[in-house]
Amino acid sequence: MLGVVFAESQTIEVDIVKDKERMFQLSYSEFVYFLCRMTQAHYDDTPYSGEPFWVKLDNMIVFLLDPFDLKPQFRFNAKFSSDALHSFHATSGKSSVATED
Amino acid sequence: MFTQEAGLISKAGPTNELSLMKCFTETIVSSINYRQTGEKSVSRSEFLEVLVRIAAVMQATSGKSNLGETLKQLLRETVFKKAKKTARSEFLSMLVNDAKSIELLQKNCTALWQAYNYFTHDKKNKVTLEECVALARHCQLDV
Repeated sequence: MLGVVFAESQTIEVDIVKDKERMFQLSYSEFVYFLCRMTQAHYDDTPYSGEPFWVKLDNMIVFLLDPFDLKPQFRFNAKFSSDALHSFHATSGKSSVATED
Repeated sequence: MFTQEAGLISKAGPTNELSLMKCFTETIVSSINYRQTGEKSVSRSEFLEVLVRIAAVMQATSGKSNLGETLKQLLRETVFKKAKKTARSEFLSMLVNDAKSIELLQKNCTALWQAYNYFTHDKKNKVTLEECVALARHCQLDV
């Protein structure tokens, strides 16, 4: 799937590119799109797939910048609603099963 | 690699490796004026030509008269079954219309530039596929 995400990130018209190496490269704007699209793909088929994208990106940006020894300059510090619900049940002594009942 | 993943050269596949290689070679030769010598990758238009040529091989072996129908059958029964689909325009329109995502990207612009510049230098101003794959593996992303 990573190759698909990479190809999707490219904004070039591949049929008119003379230098085929360009098909395996990303510019800055394409790189940013790639990070976003990769974040979305990472959460596909997980319990968090239905969460808003900005929450996913807000959580993922820490891990995306970590390999470069960089820290995010800004974060919303948002939590996934399913995690927040879980912690609410944990602190209030209610289990999710009890809530469903 | 494409032909293996699409199931075109499996035991139950419609063609053999030799005829598939011939399809690719003929496509590359047909556009020789537009490519560098020895180049083996194909562009999107060339890839579509390869598919038509594969359909022609299938048509010859199966004895069917209509190339269009054979091509449809190839796409429907073999290629599309294993193809991975994406919805680029949907994701892009969601991203550009999501104020919080844009704010997040704008306010982290410097850090993102620094991350991008990590891969570049005077003679290289782009990030490569291998570097993106390495980044995804390093972040342990399930993609």
